Amino acid sequence: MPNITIKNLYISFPLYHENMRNLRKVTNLFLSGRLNEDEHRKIYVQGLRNISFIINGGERVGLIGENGAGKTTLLRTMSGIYEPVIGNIHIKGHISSLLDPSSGMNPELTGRENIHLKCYINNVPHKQIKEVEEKVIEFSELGSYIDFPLKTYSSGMNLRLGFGLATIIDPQILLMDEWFMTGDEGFIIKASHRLENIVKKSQILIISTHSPDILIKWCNRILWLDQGFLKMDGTPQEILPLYLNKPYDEITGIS
Amino acid sequence: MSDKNPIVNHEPTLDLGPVKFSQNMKLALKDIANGFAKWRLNCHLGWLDIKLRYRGSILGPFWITIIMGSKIATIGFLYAYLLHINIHDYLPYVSISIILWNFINSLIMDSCSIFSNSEKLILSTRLPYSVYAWRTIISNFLILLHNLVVIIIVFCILKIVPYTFYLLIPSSVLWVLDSLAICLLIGILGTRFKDVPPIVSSIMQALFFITPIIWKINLIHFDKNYMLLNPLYPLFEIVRSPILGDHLSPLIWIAATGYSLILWITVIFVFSKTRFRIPYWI
Repeated sequence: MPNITIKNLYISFPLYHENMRNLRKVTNLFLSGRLNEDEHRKIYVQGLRNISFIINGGERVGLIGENGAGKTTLLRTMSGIYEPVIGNIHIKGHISSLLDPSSGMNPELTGRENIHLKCYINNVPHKQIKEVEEKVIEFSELGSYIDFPLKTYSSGMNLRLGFGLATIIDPQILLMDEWFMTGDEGFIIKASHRLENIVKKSQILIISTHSPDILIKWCNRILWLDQGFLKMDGTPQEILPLYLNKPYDEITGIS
Repeated sequence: MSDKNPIVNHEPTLDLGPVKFSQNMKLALKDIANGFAKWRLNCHLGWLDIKLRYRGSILGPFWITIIMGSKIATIGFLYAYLLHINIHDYLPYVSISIILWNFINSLIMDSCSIFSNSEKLILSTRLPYSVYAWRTIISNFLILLHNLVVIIIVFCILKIVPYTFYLLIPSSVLWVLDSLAICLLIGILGTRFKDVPPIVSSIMQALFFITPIIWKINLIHFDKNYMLLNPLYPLFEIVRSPILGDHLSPLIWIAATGYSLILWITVIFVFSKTRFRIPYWI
């Protein structure tokens, strides 16, 4: 069973190259209490502050919060990219993350070459590369565009390729940033279908989003981040009314 | 096999948190080992860099060979004339030297930005950081292979047979090890301190002139052992001497391994201290 355990996690970004004499730049951060100095007089921006939670297999978690609340930082930390200096992370399971549509893809390479690259990154055995390639091409419906460089793709095509690649590897933990629901109707149906499959196998799905539709449809748990703190942790019924300042019936009514 | 789920589905675990220096050192060594195990990805990334650079060009990567050929021809004939050296001796020497220099110089200059160039990849997937060092080494090695054509042409025209090849095996191993170390070291420093690339660039400029590359060691009139203070000199000599059949004193090998050891100890220390900080810096 995949599992994510995070305990007292702090993530802070050192500011080395900023001109700290430019007070205007840092006043905002300072006022919100996210700018700290450590004993070496180095200046940090705190991205995440004292976050603790446990996510078990089968949970579909929605991450909400304003821009800059730390959603992407938390997703990256759970992908094992930012290693914590304070706090602990324990993750069991194969992770796949779709942090942005072109994550890990090279716009100069063709679609097919990007599929190969992704296979190498994920250590897909040589014999299976062909199989993955066919499946991704089938899912992304790119047709002959698959042999064109990615920079000639529309954002929708990029999205289909990226999504197809991230989910074909059959992840146990899928981390996604909100961009993925921006595709057309046909894609959303297909993507939803694929996500359903992942969730059915009692895997973990974590989506960072602003859309109440997705949260209601997909998530059975919500983590609300605010200024780097975990403000609330609960079911959509508990949290969404507070977050959107509307009764729950009204939110579901709109969607 | 075919009815099995095609994609491996084991459960890896990831434990991250603040650890002691000894633990960090273990993680750093593991990073280097895992990076080495990903040789398929490393080669692929390095090869793609070259492929993309020359995509759409008619001669493609053979421009590398042509540019190097004209450079060596110019330097070879000009300096053979200026320094009153026999072209038959000088041209093979200078072609090996310049090509090795070209490798090490562009490797070191590229190293400054190995992590910031791969920013998107680093911030989207967890991979060993040594992968990015190998990427640069492989792409520079491919350039070296193209340049090797020039050496072969020079040797054919002058009808010179390389003295020996098997002595090049330990030299190549040392070059690969040193390349990895210097790439990681300069990569880390260049990511953390934005002033490193220009500093490195000026040091390399100086090294080009003070190292016997376009001039031969027998042109200096003081004790030649002082030249061993220049870490690049033994490194060049262990490749040049076996091919050209020059006498190679054991001191040179001792110096070459000594410098490599110092370099590796520094790198393991720096990499252990900073590995987990790299994504925060880019």
